[in-house]
Amino acid sequence: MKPLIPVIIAMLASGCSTPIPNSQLQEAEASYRQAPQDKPLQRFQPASLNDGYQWLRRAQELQQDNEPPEQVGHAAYMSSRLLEIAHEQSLQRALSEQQQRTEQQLRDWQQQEYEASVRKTELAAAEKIRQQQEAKDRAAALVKSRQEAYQQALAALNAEKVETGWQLSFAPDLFSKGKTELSSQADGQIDSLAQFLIRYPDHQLRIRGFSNQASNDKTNLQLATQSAQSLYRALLFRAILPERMSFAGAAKEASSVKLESGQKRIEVLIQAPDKP
Amino acid sequence: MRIAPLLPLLLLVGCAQTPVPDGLLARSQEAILNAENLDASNFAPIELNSAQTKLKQGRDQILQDPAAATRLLEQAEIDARLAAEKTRSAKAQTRLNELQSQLPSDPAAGNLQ
Repeated sequence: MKPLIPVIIAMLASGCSTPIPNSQLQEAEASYRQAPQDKPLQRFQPASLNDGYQWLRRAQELQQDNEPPEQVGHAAYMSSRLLEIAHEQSLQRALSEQQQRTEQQLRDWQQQEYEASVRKTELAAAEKIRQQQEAKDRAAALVKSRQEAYQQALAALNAEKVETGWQLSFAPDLFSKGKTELSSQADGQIDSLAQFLIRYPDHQLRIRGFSNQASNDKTNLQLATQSAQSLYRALLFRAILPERMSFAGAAKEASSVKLESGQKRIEVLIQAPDKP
Repeated sequence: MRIAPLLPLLLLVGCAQTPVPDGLLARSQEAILNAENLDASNFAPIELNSAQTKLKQGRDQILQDPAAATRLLEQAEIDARLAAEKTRSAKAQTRLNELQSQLPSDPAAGNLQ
């Protein structure tokens, strides 16, 4: 009982002067108590917030002065609405800031995209040039190695470069004694020549025979022709097509080496096709 | 002439109560018009409707009860202002959402490999 007495006294004392609580004012006060948690509102503090506080104070004063509840309620309503307006205005400021940041991000991103696409195009162009150069280098290397192989093949035949092609000869000692046939000692050289012709199928061959065996030129020319023909046959036998070869006898004076009496000789001219 | 019989009534009312402040009606109407122009009927229909209703009620009571009319017109104006602000916020939020949707979800992923 004891603790209640002062309360009762207080209630009695204030009973006639304390106004009946106004629900609109209580709602307004409650929403203003929440205001400190509204971060944008605290940050931007728009002028409408101040107006709202003024209306809230007016409502509280009207309530204190026991003014009619519709007046208190009106002031409370105004303060509540102004707080809402202040909230919306500060929210708009925050949104505007965020919009500016987003726009900047978009610009940065678009710039990055653009730069990346430029870089990609440049890289692709450089890569294309590099590939083209590589293909050119490969082609050049292939041509070079083919040329080297060709030179080596000719060198292996002991061929000499002359004005109209490459020339090689079958020496007199490769002939069977007293015959126009090449001896088996010449087989190796004939095989090499045939292999070369198979490897380079566009090359032509001119075979010329020489003879200083007989005492007269007419017989010598016949013997020379038979000598040339013997090589021609040997190459036919090694699968060289006849249309790639020609053979003929020639006067002994035409030989590039002077023939002793009784000697025969064959000279072969290898001709590369005319470059287109 | 025809106003004559009303004059005593007007005088009686006029003396007894404070009249509606000058320009308040116009301010309320302007605030509502402004909110309507912002398309508040789509973004804050409750607040706009409240403002329109109070404007009408306030206008109807200007003579009979100027104090109540003043309160109604003030509330109509503040409701219309709130409607306008809510509309602005909603539009700003929409615009921001649009912008953000244009950004790659992970900004780093936007880079070409």
